[in-house]
Amino acid sequence: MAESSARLAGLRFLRLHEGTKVHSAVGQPIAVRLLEIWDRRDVLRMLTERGLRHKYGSSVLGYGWSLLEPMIYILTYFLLLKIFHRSYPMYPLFIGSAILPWQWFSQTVNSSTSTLRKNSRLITSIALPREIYPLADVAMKSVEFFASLPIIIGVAWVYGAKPSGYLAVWPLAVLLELMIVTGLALLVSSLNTVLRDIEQGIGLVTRMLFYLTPCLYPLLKLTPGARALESYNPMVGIIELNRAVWFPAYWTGWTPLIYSAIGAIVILCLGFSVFARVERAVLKEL
Amino acid sequence: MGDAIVVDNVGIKFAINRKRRIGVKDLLLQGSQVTTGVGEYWPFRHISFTVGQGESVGVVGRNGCGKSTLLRLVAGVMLPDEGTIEVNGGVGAMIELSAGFVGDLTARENVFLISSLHGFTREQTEERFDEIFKWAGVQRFVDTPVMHFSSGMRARLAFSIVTRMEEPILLVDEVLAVGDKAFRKKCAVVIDNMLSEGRTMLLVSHNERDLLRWCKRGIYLRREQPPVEGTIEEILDLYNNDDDAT
Repeated sequence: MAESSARLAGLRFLRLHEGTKVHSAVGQPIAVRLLEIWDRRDVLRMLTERGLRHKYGSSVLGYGWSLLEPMIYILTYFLLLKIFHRSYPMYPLFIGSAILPWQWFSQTVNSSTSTLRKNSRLITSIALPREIYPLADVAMKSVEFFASLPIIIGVAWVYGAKPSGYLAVWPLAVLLELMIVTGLALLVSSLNTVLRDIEQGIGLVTRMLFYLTPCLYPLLKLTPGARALESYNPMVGIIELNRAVWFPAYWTGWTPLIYSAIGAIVILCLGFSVFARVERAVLKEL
Repeated sequence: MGDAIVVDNVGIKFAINRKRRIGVKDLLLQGSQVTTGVGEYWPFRHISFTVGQGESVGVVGRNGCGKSTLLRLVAGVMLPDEGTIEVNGGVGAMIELSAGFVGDLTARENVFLISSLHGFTREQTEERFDEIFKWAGVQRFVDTPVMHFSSGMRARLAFSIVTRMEEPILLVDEVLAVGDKAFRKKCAVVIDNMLSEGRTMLLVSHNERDLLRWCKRGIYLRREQPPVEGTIEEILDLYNNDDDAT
């Protein structure tokens, strides 16, 4: 090895990612893949930054968009439900606290669906852990989620609302949602290249899920039967916890959040293992 | 001294019928298992060869015999259905006249993107930036989206980027075919230099002169038949005779 590196001494730049790579018909264990992703976190970071720059850098409003979009949503639903007299006290805060984490979820799932197809030129030219591309979408949407949080704080300030003690466990809701969106991004991005139907249907599915998640209404107002049924949706507990930060009175207990935790672990594991299994077929389709 | 590329009993299969229905169940349950059935096409199977450090090997074969696929497997951007490929060192791949360009990004953005995927920092790329564009002769089009580039311009820029990524292993697929005479000459000089630096190259080409110039050894890929290895002269003879036979 010493001899060969001496031979290559003519190269001005010592490769960062040198070493033996083995491409085999036998898949690598997930742990090895995770290590490889970690090894190339510089690329993950770069792709995330590029995505954000591309989205905000070329528009006049820039960062304003990530505030404006959820604000328009809040306003629309506020007016809509005002008309039907189905409003709740401090309704903009009520919707906002749920719609921001919901948008994080739906936008990640929607944008990661086509990510491998969109990056196909890079994927078919440079060997990198393929997971990096959907993960960059997750990172981008996560940054956007945190960037949009000032809206909630602003609305709460307008109403003079104070966060409840649930704020202390709120990071758990963020963590679980991150696990869910990561798992789903890996799932839909890889499966979409072999089953193009996903790209067509995913928008509809997330829209339907939106109404099956207590974003516009509290879980508390459902009949016990409906409540129990809806709790199986892992996003329910997460949305409920987000809302409980401002509206502890609507908190229905920890059961939905336990389902969220189980769902998050299952979806995350499923995401990584399905991606690894489908990868070979994916690369042939790109 | 180790080998740069070790290809061991490698095969890859494709579906013949584009409109096949892959069930989700098949995908998930079958996974990496190999099944031989109708509707499958193996461009090559049971291929084994090695490329030593600093060696340059030419790959020849008819259209559709899997030359590009072979390069993709070595580059690690496709995975084999059988066997293993061991690659010692980073790979700079130029397959289908592209170093991985994203069409709607400008040439500048593409250069930064591709270099960072190769592990370069922004500063390191900036150091090489002018050199890359100057060599490719496209300085005027730094901020033009690559999709507006002609195939010749694209090939020049791709070659310029890939050779400046300073990866010890180069995979080159038919670059020289599209260029004009001046470009071919420039490429030849660069390749000469790189080989004298001790870099390893796997070259796919239909051009006998290029193959004879750089490669001592050759591999002849034949559709659904075992490949032949030998000196480049033997391989070219064999390839040309096969050509005449049909």
